[in-house]
Amino acid sequence: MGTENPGRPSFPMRPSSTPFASAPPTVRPFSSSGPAAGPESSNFRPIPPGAPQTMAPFSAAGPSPPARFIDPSVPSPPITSVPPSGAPYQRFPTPPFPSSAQTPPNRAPPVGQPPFQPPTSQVSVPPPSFRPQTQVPPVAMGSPPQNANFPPSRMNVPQPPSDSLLSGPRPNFQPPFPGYPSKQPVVSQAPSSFPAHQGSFMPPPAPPSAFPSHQGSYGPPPVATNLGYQSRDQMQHPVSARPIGGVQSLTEDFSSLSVASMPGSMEPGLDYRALPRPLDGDVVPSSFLEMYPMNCDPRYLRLTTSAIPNSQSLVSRWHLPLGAVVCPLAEAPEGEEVPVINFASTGIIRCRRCRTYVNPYVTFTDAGRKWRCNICSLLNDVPGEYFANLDATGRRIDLDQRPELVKGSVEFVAPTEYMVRPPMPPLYFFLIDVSISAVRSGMIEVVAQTIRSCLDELPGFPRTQIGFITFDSTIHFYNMKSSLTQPQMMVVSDLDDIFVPLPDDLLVNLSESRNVVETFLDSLPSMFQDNVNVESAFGPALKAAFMVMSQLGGKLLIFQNSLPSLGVGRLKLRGDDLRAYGTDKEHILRLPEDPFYKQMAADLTKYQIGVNIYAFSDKYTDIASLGTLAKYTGGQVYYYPSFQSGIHGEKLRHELARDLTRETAWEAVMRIRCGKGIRFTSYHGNFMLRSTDLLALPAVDCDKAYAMQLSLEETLLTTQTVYFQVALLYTASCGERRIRVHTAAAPVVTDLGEMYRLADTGAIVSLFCRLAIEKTLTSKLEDARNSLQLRIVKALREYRNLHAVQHRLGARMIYPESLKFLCLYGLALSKSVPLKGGYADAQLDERCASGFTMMALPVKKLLKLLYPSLIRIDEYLLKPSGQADGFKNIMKRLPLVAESLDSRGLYIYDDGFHFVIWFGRMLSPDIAKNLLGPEFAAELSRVTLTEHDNEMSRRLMKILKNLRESDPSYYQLPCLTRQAKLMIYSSS
Amino acid sequence: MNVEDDEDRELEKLVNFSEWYKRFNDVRVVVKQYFSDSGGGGGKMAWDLIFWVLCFFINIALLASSFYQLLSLSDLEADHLNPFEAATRINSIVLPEFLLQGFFCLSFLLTWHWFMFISTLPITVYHVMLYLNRKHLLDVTEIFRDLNTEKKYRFVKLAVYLLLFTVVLFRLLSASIFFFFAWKFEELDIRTSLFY
Repeated sequence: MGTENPGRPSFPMRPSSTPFASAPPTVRPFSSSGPAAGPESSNFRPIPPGAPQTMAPFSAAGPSPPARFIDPSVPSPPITSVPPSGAPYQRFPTPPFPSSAQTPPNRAPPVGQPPFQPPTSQVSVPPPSFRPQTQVPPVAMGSPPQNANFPPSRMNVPQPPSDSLLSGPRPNFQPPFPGYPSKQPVVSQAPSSFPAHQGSFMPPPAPPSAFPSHQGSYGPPPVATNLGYQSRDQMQHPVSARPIGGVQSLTEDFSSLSVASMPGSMEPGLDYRALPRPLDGDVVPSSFLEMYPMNCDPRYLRLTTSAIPNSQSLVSRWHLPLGAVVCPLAEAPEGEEVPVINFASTGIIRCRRCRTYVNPYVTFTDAGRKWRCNICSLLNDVPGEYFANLDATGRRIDLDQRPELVKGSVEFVAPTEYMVRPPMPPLYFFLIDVSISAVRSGMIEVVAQTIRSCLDELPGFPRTQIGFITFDSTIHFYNMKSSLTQPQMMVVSDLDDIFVPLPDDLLVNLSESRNVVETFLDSLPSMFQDNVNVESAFGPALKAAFMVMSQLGGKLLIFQNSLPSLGVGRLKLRGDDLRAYGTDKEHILRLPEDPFYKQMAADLTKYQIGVNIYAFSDKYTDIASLGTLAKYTGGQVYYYPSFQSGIHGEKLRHELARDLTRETAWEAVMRIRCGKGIRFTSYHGNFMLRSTDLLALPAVDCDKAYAMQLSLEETLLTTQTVYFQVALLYTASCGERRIRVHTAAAPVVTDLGEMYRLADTGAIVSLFCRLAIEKTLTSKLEDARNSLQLRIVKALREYRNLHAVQHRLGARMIYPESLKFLCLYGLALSKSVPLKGGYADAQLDERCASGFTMMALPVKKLLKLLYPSLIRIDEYLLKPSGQADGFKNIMKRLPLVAESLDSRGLYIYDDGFHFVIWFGRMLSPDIAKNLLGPEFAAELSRVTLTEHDNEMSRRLMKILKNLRESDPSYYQLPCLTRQAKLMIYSSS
Repeated sequence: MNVEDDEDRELEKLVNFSEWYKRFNDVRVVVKQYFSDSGGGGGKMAWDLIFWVLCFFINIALLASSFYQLLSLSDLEADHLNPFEAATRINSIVLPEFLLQGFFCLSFLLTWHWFMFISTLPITVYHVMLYLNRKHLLDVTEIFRDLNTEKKYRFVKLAVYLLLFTVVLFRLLSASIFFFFAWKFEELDIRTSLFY
């Protein structure tokens, strides 16, 4: 059992070869051998992705044989005995196994040993005719249990990828390869180094016949493979005469995994180290970006597969979601900001018919007087001011001054045609619960302080507007007119017929009324400190806030501490109904109880009001209903169960500050356009649809992502490439109306294998997550999990069918390199808070809150949440201060398995929302004492982590700080836990 | 007059009655006969005609309501209407339509038009079900997700209403024909053979 990631670029392997489960370590070795891969891919790039060759299922995988032959240095087939150094001629993998079958048993190097040196220079390939002979039992290392009864020795038979071509000799090897398993790493390396190639080149499958004349001579198989590999490397980079440590050239293009005992051990089971683990976090497939360098960065738009199927039948065989995940305002690193373009008098250049914005993929013709829209192929006139001559290659001569023609992401300044009203000012309105529980928890104090400290950083100075309403059983309005010195409080107690006591001055310009606002925030905590009111007139207060805000729109932040109990929209305690679970009524608990909330959400969206919910209660607050407000207004839900300012204050402070100060796009609408023949059919995330394809987003920021699925409208796509364009029309905080446009191209393919190769696990998981969460709103949790699993299984089965023809796969599971983490993430997803277990496994509120959160998470954060990082830090803490610099060095993520945890260690588990700091049972008491101070022996759940005056504690704090800074969108509150007899997962 | 005489007379009455009675082979016909005898053929037919005219207009109203809802939905789909307005428009006529349809169905039951009652019953039951599940109103927030189902549902309803309409029209015509030309073919009561 092991994972095999034979190189992508592979020739069709025979089934027998698959057995090589590579030893677990293989994965990493791979990457190390990687260097060669990168360059290679570039060499092959010229071949257009959509090229016909791609059709062959396997073709994409490996370097195309033809390509190889092109190399002049490679003479036609009969290539024999070539010394490794003679790279050019070594094109072909040396015959892995001597035809004579006299393999010395010791060929296989010890486990983990690096690639072999080819002992002999003579490499010849066995004639293809040998192939049939191969009868190696499919049982390799990874053979399924049934096969386990084979003699161990057999299992070890190495089957270098090259086998597929030269399989003949193989049978001979069977008996003696004790060392083989160790070999595996080498074999498997090949694949990993290639991932980058995916998609970059798509050679047609190489039929074995292509190398008819290779006479197998001898050479230890491993060597042979290495040779082959190396030679290829050399061929592509003649200069790099690497020692023969290369990777096999002929490898399968899929990875595989099987559950069986390792050859050495009699104990059946799965070796956890063999499983692929996303320890590098979210890796965006880069080959695609190389293919279309003018595409927008994947942080803005990711397709679930960068190869768009050309026919309905292909779509139906692709069981994974087909769509995109868009994060239109993703934070760009320094230096990669989206350029802002002002066309001023010219007006924004758009296609007349499909309204596509001008982008790098439009083509100029007719000496620059016309341009052809890349999405609908309509010829448009180029306006006079925009005219530029074309150079000899048909490119505009002013290309370097036109970022919109070079970059995939640009921002246009929108003229008045794009406004229905003058751009609104940034507006923050606070609706604060001041009932007794809010006062007791200290929430009001933290909120007031945080808002006050953020006043300077609210975006959009000097136009920013601000307003407050507080409520318990009555509603309190505050007149903040700038001429006042003290805010005036007005109490409305008629909840049935809400009215606004003052026409204006409830919502004031922050810079004008700064003093009043500050006075108000300073006095807010003390104003209500003796409040004993337990009621919450949430619904009427919301209506009041809506009335105040409806003129302008803006952002409404609601701080809710108890279940709404008065007036319209009051809710019932319904979360503790154990009996509902497992029945058809189960999902109703996750839906808003009162239609008031949906109606309110629709009205709020209509008036450009985005709602963020902050919920704090220790009891049931019906987040399902409250969250609906955030869901349809493009907001988000922050949930702090049992909030205590002493413990959770820091988290609230950070997240509220982030919410208030991050760059926000106001009164936005988003649309994604795509080429003819395909259509986006469903959208998933927190927003409301304004029309079939227009997302209304009253307030959107960098932490929100939206997913959409597409379908084919025509039965057959005839184009080679399809284009996607995301356009977000919004009002920037500075008061400018802007359009942010992201454009991407993707090849159309005719081959399912290609789709798998260009698949993007992150985007797929993100879509799956949203689909599954939506499913929990209409059916049982179990159904949601099952349908998720079913789709993954179907997809993998389809992939298997794709390859089963050429290979005998035995009972192995195979999967494409690009989807190697899919199963893991699928499992993680079904164990995530919104989907896991049943009644007892998560509080209903927590479930709903994290459901709302996950519906909006960008891909990267979602993957981190699903597969958190685990870091061991005790060694770092103990290091003398001199060497304690390399923060990067300690950031090595460990696989999330029990074996990773050493009882002498100290670990940080970080899912992006919480830290769990795990103290091993045998951890030296010094460390604990240094970190926790005198309380180190106490029950850890009651201890809060504070900085103590010693190096170790400071260092730990620095680590936590660094981890938090790597992603500021949420604040991870440390939760301390000590290793117990029975380990309990703690999800604070 | 003696007792025997009286008895004979009674007996004779009885015999007469039973002979008279034999002409009616079931209760329904008795009732019918009674009405036509007492109210007169014309009166009964007048009621019939009025009833069918009423049904005709109810049916037209139902048709119009379905059609209007469908139209609003397709406008919404074509982006001529925003979801808020579409939902308001449709939701405002959903309940009246349900009530009207319920009345339509009920009136057939009360007038013993079994065939018509049975054919309107499924829609009534479906309406009641929707109403009890609180799903009768369009959800403005999810309107696009449900658009296709909602359209399909209204298409089916429209088709059923159209079918009913043809039947009602036919019944209305026959009722008016019998009303205005009853004297011409009194013995030729095709309604009885067709619909009772």
